[in-house]
Amino acid sequence: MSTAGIVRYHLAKEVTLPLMLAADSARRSLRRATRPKRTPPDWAGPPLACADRLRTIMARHYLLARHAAGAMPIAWVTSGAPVEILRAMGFYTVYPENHGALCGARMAGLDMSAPAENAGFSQDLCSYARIDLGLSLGARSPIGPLPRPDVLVCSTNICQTVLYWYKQLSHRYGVPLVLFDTPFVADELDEGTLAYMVGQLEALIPRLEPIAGKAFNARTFESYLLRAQRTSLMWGEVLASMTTRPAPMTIFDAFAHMAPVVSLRGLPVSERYYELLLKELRARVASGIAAVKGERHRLLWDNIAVWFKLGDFIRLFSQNGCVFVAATYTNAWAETVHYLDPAKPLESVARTYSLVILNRDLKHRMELMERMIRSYCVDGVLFHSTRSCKPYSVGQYDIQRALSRKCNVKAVLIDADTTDPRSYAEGPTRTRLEAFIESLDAGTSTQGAA
Amino acid sequence: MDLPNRRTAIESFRKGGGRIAAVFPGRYPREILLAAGFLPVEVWDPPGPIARASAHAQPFVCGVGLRGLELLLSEKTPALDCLLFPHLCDTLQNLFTVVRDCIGHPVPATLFYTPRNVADAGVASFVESQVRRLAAFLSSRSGVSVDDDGLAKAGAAMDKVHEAMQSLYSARRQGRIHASNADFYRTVRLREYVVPSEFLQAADRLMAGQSTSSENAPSGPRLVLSGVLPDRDLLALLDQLGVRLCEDDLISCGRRFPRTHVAADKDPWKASAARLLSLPPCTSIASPVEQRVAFLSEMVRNSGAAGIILHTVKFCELELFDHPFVVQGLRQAGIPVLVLESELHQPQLGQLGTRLEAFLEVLS
Repeated sequence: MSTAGIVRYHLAKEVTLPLMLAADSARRSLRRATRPKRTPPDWAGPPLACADRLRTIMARHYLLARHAAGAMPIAWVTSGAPVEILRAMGFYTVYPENHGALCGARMAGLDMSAPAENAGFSQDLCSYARIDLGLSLGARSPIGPLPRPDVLVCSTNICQTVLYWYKQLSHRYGVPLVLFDTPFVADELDEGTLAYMVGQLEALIPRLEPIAGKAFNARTFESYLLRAQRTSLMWGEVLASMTTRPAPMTIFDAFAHMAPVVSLRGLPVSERYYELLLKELRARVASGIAAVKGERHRLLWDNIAVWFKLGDFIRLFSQNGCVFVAATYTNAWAETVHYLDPAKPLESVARTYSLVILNRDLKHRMELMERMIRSYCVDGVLFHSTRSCKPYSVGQYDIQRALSRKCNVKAVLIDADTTDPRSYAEGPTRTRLEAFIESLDAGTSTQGAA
Repeated sequence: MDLPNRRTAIESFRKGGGRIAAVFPGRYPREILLAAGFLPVEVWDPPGPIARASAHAQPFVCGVGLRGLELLLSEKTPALDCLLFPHLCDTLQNLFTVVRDCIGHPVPATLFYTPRNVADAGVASFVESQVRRLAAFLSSRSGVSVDDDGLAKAGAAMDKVHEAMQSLYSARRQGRIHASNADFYRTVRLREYVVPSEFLQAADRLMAGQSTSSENAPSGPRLVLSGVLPDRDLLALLDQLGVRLCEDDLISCGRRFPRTHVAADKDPWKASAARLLSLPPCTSIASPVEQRVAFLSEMVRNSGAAGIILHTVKFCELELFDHPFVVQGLRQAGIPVLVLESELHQPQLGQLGTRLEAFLEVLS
């Protein structure tokens, strides 16, 4: 780290970026005030006021990342990596999965993955990985360049794919890959597995210290851990707000508003953001403000979002009075937070990160979905089968049948992808979704349609 | 060549009062199953159409997963006493829980996790803990408790199997195996479903040149085959083109036995863990690209191969992720590489043949 780099970073953080973002916010406000008022669709409730704040936070995060090189050690991390340890050593963390989602939402998935496919990476591979590898091979991100990593930190709790992907990045960038291997929990977490994970966390610290150029401080770590816990608990409350009828927000909102708990977990900005969001949601609940007017059916989403179709799905479902009020995906960042215990920091981190939905058997997932169906009063479930994510998708056929039978809910399964539109067929999917909505209205099951 | 198939091996073992464990692809301590009174029968590429499995798994699941699932759902499958799923990849992980938790398959199933952080100081203890957990599961099913003596014997038998594999591979490198590629792998793959003594006899016969069929060993260019498994149709094609496979880096074959002698630990449980951790680099444990390139380059050099074929099964992401940079590394080392991808048992032989012929022309 150079003094000049550190000065540039702080200058950007304290002066340039706040000015830029304030100017951008003012420009947006002015545009809103001066442009002819668009009539919102008759199904739309008032948008969340926090959305502007979210946009600013995430823009600042990515803009600041560009100035972090030379000022702070940079770690690229998977969404399930124990980031609190890195924060305690001063790493600036970048989440390629979040970047992939952003690229997908901006319809840039294909362009971003083209260099990777040209280099020989198969179209059958995870599209987040292809986007990220494409970036490493020269693709231009719609959100601007990401800083080159000093280290890659990968946890296998969400999939093994991230490990295959990160080892390619490690080769490409010539930087170390630090792995936190979290064995799949097929029944209960056994002592041997716990000891293996705690040992890895202990070993991870001395590996990261020389890269960070800073010693690990247990007290600082504990403070990040506590803040991460508070943040995740608040995220859980944000999601729980959708148990009320009408729901004050939808899962499509949550897909965007989860960004801080994923990418900025443990940082004050994230905690403050959810305080704000919760305040707004509580006010909406108290006033009976609905995210979708005329809420008739409440739905559960399974799997990652189809980022490039979010807008279309919002319109299709909302105009038919269908509101997604729960998702297994967004729930993942709140589900295991209760395991965090500052008295047993590393052991509790091992539990928190290894007992997430994708690292557990399908019995666990079905039970969780059953609980969600009941507590959120869900009428129907949409399963997004994505070829990018096998641990999330393989097993959905059986879960769909089991939940339809046990919970008496309608269910539909669509084939798509997180960011690759080539894996999505508009006509058949639309027909299937319309049939699903009709079945919700008619009270008949569509499970055979999948 | 008179070698038993899986069905006859199962029937014969069962007649002796033994139990059968179907084992899905991956790395696992075979000696534990033997010590617990099971015949481990590996399920890699069962033939036949895929029908029932499609109701449980998407079309983007690889042929290995779909065919294995189909086998379990088929009424014609011989009676099984337990199912073991080594943790090879995300797909097989989920198929394990589909079989156990969703389909409710009547045969008890368990998972054996293969650690990915093989450089971690605690990895041997972890593997030992998983080996003991597996032993407890198997004992509860067979009623045969796995004790130190029984495990030591089974471990010693597996060490002999590994030595025999080393000898077979060494003899093949030196051109001392007079068998077609298909015949060679028929014997090598016997270890997937027979007891060690039976495999050792077959290995001896192959070494002595007794088990070859009438066809002569190919005498064309020497190549290394890397990938998932030795696909029968691909082997037939290679035999037809006169290609002599002189080494392999296949998940099901060459990556399943240590390439150098490993001193056995006196503690049979630790020895079992050490056996698993001494296996060659593999995509399934996410061995670094540089390590794989170095390993494959050395394999090509030591075997005097003219090039290497990277053949993978469609949708096998652990292999597919490695291909671009491994190919780049091998080519930088001056090693000609051919990349092939095909469905199991449904290869487009014409297309594969054309690509192989073109590759052979380049080599010549």
